[in-house]
Formats: sequence, structure tokens, C-alpha cells
Amino acid sequence: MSYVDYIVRRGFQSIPVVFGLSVLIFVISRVIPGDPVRLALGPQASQQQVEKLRAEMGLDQPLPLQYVDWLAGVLQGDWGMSLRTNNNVLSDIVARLPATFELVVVTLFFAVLLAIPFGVVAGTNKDRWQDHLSRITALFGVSMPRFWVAIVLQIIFVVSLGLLPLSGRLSDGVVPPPAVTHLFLVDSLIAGQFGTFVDAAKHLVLPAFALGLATLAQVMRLIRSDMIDEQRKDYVLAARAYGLPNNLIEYKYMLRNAFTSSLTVIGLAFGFLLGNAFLVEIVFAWPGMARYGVQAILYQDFNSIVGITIVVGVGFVSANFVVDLLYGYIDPRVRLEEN
Amino acid sequence: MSSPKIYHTWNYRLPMSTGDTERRKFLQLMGAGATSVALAGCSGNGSQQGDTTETGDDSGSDQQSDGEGGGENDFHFIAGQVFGTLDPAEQVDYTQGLAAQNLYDEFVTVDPDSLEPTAHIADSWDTEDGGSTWVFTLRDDVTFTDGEILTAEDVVYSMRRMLNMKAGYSSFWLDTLDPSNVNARDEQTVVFEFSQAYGPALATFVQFYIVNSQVVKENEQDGDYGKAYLRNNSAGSGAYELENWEQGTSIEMTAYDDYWKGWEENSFDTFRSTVITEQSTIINTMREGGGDMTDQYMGTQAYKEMASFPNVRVPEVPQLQLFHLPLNTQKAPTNDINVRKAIAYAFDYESAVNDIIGGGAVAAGPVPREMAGHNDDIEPMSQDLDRAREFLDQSDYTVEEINDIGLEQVVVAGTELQRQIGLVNQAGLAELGIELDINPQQWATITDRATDPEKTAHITNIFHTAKMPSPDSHTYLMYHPSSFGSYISQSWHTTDEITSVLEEARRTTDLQGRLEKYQEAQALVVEGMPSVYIANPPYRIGINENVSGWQYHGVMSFDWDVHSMQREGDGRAK
Repeated sequence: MSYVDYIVRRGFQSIPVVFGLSVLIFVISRVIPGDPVRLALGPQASQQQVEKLRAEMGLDQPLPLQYVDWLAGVLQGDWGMSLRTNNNVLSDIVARLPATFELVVVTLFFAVLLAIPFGVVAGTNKDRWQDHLSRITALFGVSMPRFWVAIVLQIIFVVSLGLLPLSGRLSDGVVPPPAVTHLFLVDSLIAGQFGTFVDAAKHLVLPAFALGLATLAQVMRLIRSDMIDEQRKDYVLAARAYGLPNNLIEYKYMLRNAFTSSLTVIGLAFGFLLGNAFLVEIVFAWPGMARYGVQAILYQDFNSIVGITIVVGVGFVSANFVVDLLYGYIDPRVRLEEN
Repeated sequence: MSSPKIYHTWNYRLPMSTGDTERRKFLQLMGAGATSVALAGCSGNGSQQGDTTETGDDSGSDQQSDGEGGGENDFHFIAGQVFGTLDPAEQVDYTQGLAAQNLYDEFVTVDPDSLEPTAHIADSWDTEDGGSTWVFTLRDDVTFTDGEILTAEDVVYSMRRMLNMKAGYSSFWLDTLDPSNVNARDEQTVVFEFSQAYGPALATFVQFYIVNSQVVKENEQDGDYGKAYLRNNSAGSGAYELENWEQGTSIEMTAYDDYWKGWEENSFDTFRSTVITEQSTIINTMREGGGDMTDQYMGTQAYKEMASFPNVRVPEVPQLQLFHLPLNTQKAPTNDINVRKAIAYAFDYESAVNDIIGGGAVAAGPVPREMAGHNDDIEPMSQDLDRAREFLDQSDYTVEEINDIGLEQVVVAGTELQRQIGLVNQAGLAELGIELDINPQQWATITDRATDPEKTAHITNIFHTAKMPSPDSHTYLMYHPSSFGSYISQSWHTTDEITSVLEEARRTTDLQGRLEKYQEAQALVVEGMPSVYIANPPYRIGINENVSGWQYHGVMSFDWDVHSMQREGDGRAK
């Protein structure tokens, strides 16, 4: 199988996953108890008003018909009206997704960037102090709740040391850069606004660290254990016997083989962070999509719930698609086995 | 025995603190620099389509002030919930009310000293036809933010719009006022012809905001009364004009220079409200001098912590709010008055007020103690387990039968204070051998259950804040059958006598006579023990020390009239 065939095949396999997810979440959002229409209209609303809005939203139709209507709308860019904001859910999500996307990308980038050297050092120094230190760090990273880490970081770096900003994407009085991608880091560079870039970057440090600590720990431990496995293999012994430099053996040959299992975790982490950034977004008042999703759940704003879930689901599927492509690239045996 | 009233005003004022700014700046730049290098190659493909988030005509230079917001004298309010709509006809919650308070003018307002309705847009008024016709004379110096004069036509349009939309607080008038019976007698006179004498009309008009009829009519779509337009735009005569609104994130307003009430030298040029839902972040923002004011809905501990900051004061005043546990009188076993009395006597009011709510007073009936028209003859309850057992013995249900049915108390999920109140109730009932199931549920579920007596829980935790300066909001809206089906009236309790007295109260135009009717209704209500009236909690908010002019008004959101406040000193106290 050629690499292109492999990509196309993987792409088509993603479609039923997204479709199945849409059916599942659509049904769940509509059978959970409570009456979101009444909540949206307020306590003074009459039963007649409630019924009218319910009819306007098509909620008096059978569930399969509601789904077909919704799907037809989605394909035309109409994701339904949010009961909480009264906007098209798509425009609500589009307005908030860049903030979450920027946070997640930065988080993942730094988590992987730090996890690789820490994991390699721990793996090549098994049972030495470096390994113990990485174990303690990983245990802390995985076991501490994100919101707790976030609050502690705020207390240390904002309240006590005054080094970083407390919340939001930009400081008071800083005008957002002209919108091109809606990612402040990118847009500020495009506009040549270095001051805004620095300000946006400072605002990202604490949320990204709080969000990425667990991912860093997971990837670090995986690389560490895979590096230990690789060390026992003959090609490493041969390389050492040839007198190749340690750094070359570890970072060029061993790491490439040790990285495949970490790649799976990184792919899953992207989707996971996209949907689970809400605790960090709430603590740092980050105007992102995850916080919007939580509010949607609390208010039973079901069009928004479905919209957010679909976006997070597509994020998962896309990230895993990319991971599959990288697998095929890093390890050609994967795509050959598809035959 | 009544619980002691605990009313404090904490006031701290210490010198502003300064930090090691040079070191800070250096480290900040180092951290940001590292971030910028690392990011250069990772985020270039995130193209998104959507509304711009720009707030001004930035021409390429990155403007930055020193943390005092967009204007020189910027007021920053930290809101704990999002702004659902900017349309004053649809407002029901506190953030919507806050937007309406500052973008629009209410027809009559609340006097912060007497907590009574007083003149505002309506300068004077009179009643005709035995109280069924109300005639208002308007001020002649009020202009909308587009410069047009506010006239009687605008008032007529605003009220008809509200009645036809049937949204927000329109239920105050829907039963007694037909849209065609709101008319302008001349440019400055408006006539409201109610179908019957309507005593509390004046008090209800505090929730009536005037829109610019010309602007709204121009933006109507398919006969929607400009609903779509006003959800995201403003057309008012308020002290502030809408500058920018990012729903769910922030709202920004700038002062309307020609506001009819004029401006003080140190009034606020801009008003910003940022949505921050995490309590610790709100506290830290206030501590850092990043915010001027918080809302009143955080936990007791949060206000205690803020009161310890040198740059924040936390006023604590008696509040026109009732915290109670409505008992469903239509469902077994709480349909038995003796069971209800047993529950009420088993509850530990002292612990609830002093240890959980952290202040205020034990409630004495449904109307808050500080509200005009409260019946002072009603004694607050206190725990008396012997009396509780006596009532239980007299009930139609045995303890075993009650436990077989399963007594349920619903609390709002995720609210620690409400859960603790549930535990207090559970402990009291356990003394009687009754098992109480505490059931945390989402607010949407609670409001849905409130529409049907069969679905309504036996016991529910409810905070009920005054929506108008009249005891009507804590009697008619809770115990008149026409109000049933809302979260406010979850006891489903009334009698012919209560209904009759409440209707009579509404028909009474003489203020004193009307208040007496409400007092009579309160006495009748408490006889049936439809609620465990726990507390009138204190009102607390965090205010930056350099803000003056704030006053408690008693009605939701009226306390955040930014026009009435000023900046003292140089910027926010830090």
C-alpha cells in the first residue's frame, strides 16, 4: 500500500466515528432530565410561551426527525440556536475555539518539548537520582488536580512573586491584534506588535503549565520506559561497540524507536486537552470553548452541548489521524501491515 | 428565640504596596521570550473565520496601559456569570440587570435610604378611577445616547413592547394591563389603565426600562419588536453607552457625556465587566487591585478573605432576601401540616445562620425583615425538638411511613452552602428518626420540576431576592395560585383566604392600607407552615478602597449603578 492510499483509507475510517458520535451525543443531550426551554425563558414564562419556543426549535418533533433537521442545518452552517446566548452555536464556537486551540497547542508543544529530554535522561539513568526525580515529578503531575495546580501557580507566581498575570488572554488596556487567525500569538507577529506578543505569551505561561503537567508526566514516563527497553537491544550494543557518541545513540537511534508509543498518548492528549481545558479555563478566566461547554452543560443548552462535543470529537479524530500518518512515516511496517 | 442580627461593616485602609518592578519586568520578559521562541514554529495553521475581537481602530502599534483598563478612570466589575442578553425587556438575572441599569433608565427607581420607589424618568404621578389608572409626568431633560429627547411615546412603546414580548418581568403587568391601555396623553404624560386597581404598580415600574422607540423600530425584523437587535446592541438613555460586548467574556461601556443627571469630576469614564467564575481568581484579582467590585454570590469565606486585604472593603448590610426551604404541600408526607411543623421545628436555625451563612438574621416569615410591610408580629423560628416530636405524633404519617415514602431535599448542585444546609436539616430530622435524602440537581432540573406539584421535591433550597421594593414579591409571587409553577412558589401553598387577601392588597392603592393587607397575608401564610424560613442573609460585596458612592438599594442589580460611584485617589488601591 502506498503512503497516499494509507492516508485516504485512514481518512475514510474517521467519517463513521464522527457520525456515530453525533448520533450518540444528540440523543443523550435530549434525554437528560430538565427543561432547558423553561430555563431559557425564565421563571415568569407561561406554559404557552414555553410550548411556542419548543415548537420554534422543533423540539416537539420525534427524535429521529430532530436529528435529520439538525444534521441538515449543520451541513449548511446552522448548528442551531444556543438557548443561553441566543446565537448560532457555530458562531459561538468559532468565537471561542481559537483561545482554547492556542492554549492546547502551546500546552502540548511545551509538554512534549520538556518530556523528551527528561524521559531520555531518566531512561538512560535508571535508578539513579535523575530517574527518581523524574518519577516524583511524574507522580506529582499525574496525581495533582489541574485546578489545584492552577490555583497554587496563581498564588506563587502572581500573588507572591508578581511575575505573571493572573487571568485572561491579554492585560487590561492591551488591544487585541488585528484578527487574522484569532490566535493572539500569531496575529500579533503578523501585525508586528511584539509588545502584544509578549503580553499574550505571558498570559499563556501559567494556564499552559497547569494544563500540560499531566501530559508532560505521562509522555516522560513512557519515553523513559521505552528507552530502557531499547537500551537492551542488540543495535544499541553494536552502536556502543562501534564507539558512537552517547547523544547520537540516544537521541537519534533509540529515541525514534522509543517514541512510537508516546505518539499515541500525544494524539489522545490533544483531544483530551481540547475538551478538558475547562478547569484551567475557569481558574484563569480564559475565554475559551471548554468553559463555554461547561456552561452549556449546566444550562442544558443542548445545541451547544452537541456542537462542542462534535468539535472535541473532530479534534480527537483529527489528532489520531495525524498520529496514524506519523506512525506510517516513522515506522513503515505499520502501513505495510495494512496490506 | 431569635437569632442575633450580625451586621458589620469592615473597613480597612492601608498604604498601597509596591513591588520590585525592575526584577519583575526582567523575569517576565525572560519567560515571555522563551515562550515566543518556542512558539514560532507551532501555531501557524489555525485559520478561523468569525467575528473580530478588535475593540478599536488599532493601526498596528501595540498599545499598552499600566493596568487601569481602557480609560483613565475605568470601573472594573467582576461578574460571576455571563450576560445572557442586553435587552432590558428580557432581563431577569443580575448580570442582565446590571447591563440594563447602566445602559438604560428605569421608569421609577429605588431610594437607597428608604428602599422605597422614587422619581426617576417619571417625575411625578397620580392615580385616577380608584387606583386603576396611573398617570405619570415625565422629566423633560432626558435624552437618549443619540441625542433624541425621551418622550411619552418612548415610554408607551417600551411598555407595549414588553407586554407583547411577554418576557422578563412582564408578568408584573400581564394580568392587569392590556398593551392598548398604555397611551400618551401628551409629550410628557403617560397613562396606564389597569383592568383593576393595582396598588403595587409604582413598585413594579422599577423593573421597567425605557428604550429609544425610533432606533428600535428601525431595527425591527419580522415584527420582533427589535428583540434580535437589542440582544446585542443598546438604545437607551443610561449613563453609559455600549462600546463592546463579547458574550460570555466581557462587556465594555463608555460614559454618555450628556447624561441628564450630570457627572462628578471623578466619575468613571468607562465601565467594564469581566466574567470570572472561579472564586479564587476573583479574590486574587481584587487583592491585586485588578477589580473595583465583585458580586454578592460568593461563599462567606471569600468575603472574609477579601475583608482582610488592605485595598478591599466588604460592606455587610441587611438584605431584602429570603433563604428558605419551601415544603411541597401537595405531596405526601409534606402535605400534612404537622409533618411540615415537625420539619420546621427540627431545623437548627442558629447553626445555619451563624456557622454556615455566616451572618444575617433568622427569617421571620416570608417577607424579609428590613422590607416595608414586614409583619413584625411573626416570630422567627428556633430549633425545638420536643415540639417537633409532638407535631410528628399528631401527624397522619408515622416515621416509618415517612421513611418508606422517602423525604427528598433538592439542593443546587455544586453549591457548598446549600449542601451544608441540607446536612443541617438532615441532622435535625435524624433526631426524629426521619431519613432525609439530599439530592443535588442542576438548576434547569429544579425549575423544570417546579412546574408540577407531583415533580416538585418535598423540600428545596431557594434564595429569593426582592425584584421590586414591595412585599408583593415575597407574598403574591409565592402564594397566589397565578404564580404557581415557578421556582419561587415551590410550596404550592395557598388558601382561599390567602388568595383573597393578596388580591385585595393589590387592589389597595393607599400604601399603608396595602402594607397592612400584606402583613395579614403573611400571618395567614405562616399558619400553614409552607416553608422552613431560614434566614435573611446579609448582603456582602467586595469593593476596592478607592471607590466611593456605593449604596445598597435592596433590589437586584440596582447596587451596580456605576454613575453614582466615583474614584478616590489615583487609580485602584493595590
